[in-house]
Amino acid sequence: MEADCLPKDLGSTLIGLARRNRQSTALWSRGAQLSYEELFERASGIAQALVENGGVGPGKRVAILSDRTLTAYVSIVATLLAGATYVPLNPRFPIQRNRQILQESGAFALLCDERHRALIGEVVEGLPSLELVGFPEGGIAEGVTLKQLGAEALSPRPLDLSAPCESASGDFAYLFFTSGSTGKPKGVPISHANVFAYLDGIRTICNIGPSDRLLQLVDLTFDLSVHDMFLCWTSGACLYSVPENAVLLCTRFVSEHDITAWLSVPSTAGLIKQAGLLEPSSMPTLRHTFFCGEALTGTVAEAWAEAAPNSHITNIYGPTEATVAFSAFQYVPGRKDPPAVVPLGEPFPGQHMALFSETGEKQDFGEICLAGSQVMEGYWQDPELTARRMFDADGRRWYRTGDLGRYDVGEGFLYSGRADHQVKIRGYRVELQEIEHVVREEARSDLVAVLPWSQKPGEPAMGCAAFALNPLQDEITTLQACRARLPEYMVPTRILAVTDMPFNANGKVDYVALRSHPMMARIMERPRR
Amino acid sequence: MDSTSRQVILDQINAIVSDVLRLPDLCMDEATTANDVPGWDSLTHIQIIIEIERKYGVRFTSTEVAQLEDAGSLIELVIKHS
Repeated sequence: MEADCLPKDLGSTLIGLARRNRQSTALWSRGAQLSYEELFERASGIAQALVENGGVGPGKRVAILSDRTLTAYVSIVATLLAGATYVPLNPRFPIQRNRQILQESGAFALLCDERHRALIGEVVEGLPSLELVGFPEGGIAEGVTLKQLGAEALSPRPLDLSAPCESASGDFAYLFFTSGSTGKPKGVPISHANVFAYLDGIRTICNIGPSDRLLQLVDLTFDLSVHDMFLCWTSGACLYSVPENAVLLCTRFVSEHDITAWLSVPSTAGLIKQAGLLEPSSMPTLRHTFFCGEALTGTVAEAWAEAAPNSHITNIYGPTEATVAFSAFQYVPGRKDPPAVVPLGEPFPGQHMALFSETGEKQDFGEICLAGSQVMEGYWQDPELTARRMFDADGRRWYRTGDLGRYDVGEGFLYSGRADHQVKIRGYRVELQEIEHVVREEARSDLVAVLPWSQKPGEPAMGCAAFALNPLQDEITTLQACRARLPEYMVPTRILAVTDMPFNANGKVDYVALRSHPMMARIMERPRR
Repeated sequence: MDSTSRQVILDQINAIVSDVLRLPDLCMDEATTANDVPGWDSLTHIQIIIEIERKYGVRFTSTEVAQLEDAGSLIELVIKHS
């Protein structure tokens, strides 16, 4: 085995493979494309500059603020080649949230695309850990006192020269932030070993090779993007990035570009179906479809099977904390009576999945807990949260997912709801308490309850609504303030002022009663003001 | 295509967007972007595109839709396909 085949770290593995696939196309984004040589030469140049000019390397974090253009992907690879950890920011998040992520991550450097260069002053102002800003597309940011690197300093470097990560690499490949119940996002650091464990697992159920074309649909702050990028580039395949505003036309994109592999949340497929764009045999080139992130209904799976008749359909399940996905269920279509919800299946080989009671005993129904080489060591700089979510049993360290499940010998694990207030809104993981916290402050109300809503009962949530007890601030002002603090999918559709809040027998807010509040029905019928 | 025809297409697109988003008072110009219009998000974008395709009997490619930047570029796309 050649040295660069050893899964030491992601950067070394990727650059080793790029040297063998130089002329193959690695990336397509908005009509532009890069070969492996071009992608890795650009990334290597940035990596070298980060190391030489700023001391970026193992143990340091590099944040990335970019639309899903070539710059975003080049910057991710560059960070890994520098031996550092990448922290994706999201141009669709409010500035305040991106600042919060930058601050929590303690990022040392920030790479930014041209479109967001003018914003950068506001994003980086007063953050103590940040020392370096790079603009791979050129230019500098006026009024920013940090050290800045432009296109010349970040110019490409020959692929045959050794990349910094090949002599020294860090523990973590990436640090993602997910919604946190305390009002601030929580950091999930994922190691190189975690990523390799995931790739080994997913490869047991699919064979992706150099002739494959993988679709990349989700934001880079969503860890399904990790599957897309690294399964692709460790296979010599090509990644096709679909821009944000064309995601729902992606069935057309599949046939126009002969895409062979798809990963999305089931909501995306549901919306395409609803729009009448899931036509039979419209995606004959697809060989692998993965759905992840929320409950997959049998009706969506069946409609998908008709549209992509040559594709395996696999429901994969897992939280960010256990690296993309942890278990898989292969759906066999053609069922007369499709299941309401497709099972989660069995964990990947070598990973462990079990159901535990609140007191830590294994049982047939309980909280889904995960152990194995895909599971993170703990939350970012939050030992208290780590202690709450992780425990030792049977000689293993388990992560509590917060999902409830049961087990069936034929179908494997089955999803049975949440053990807490976490929901998925359009596939995004959201802690309702985080929204409640923001609305409480902005509406100046003592008590706020936030509920998800869907277009039909039982369907995935499309948004949320807030009930605020005697708020001092009006709805429009509160909504504006929420938009400045929360990602769009977390901003309530409506904020309803109430003079009385229902409570259950335990003295807790009665969410069940609020669900049947007449206003909820009106929102489902006509969500926008 | 003269400016009168562009205005006609803009008015028709305005009517479609206003109908999909339930904004009766909407008044777009060629520089209007989705960000300027309340409720024009990734979910409603597809409805708007599909309604425009129906109205003009055309079918855009996903790449064309991805490159749309404002109402003006939407008009160009309609002209190109009609």
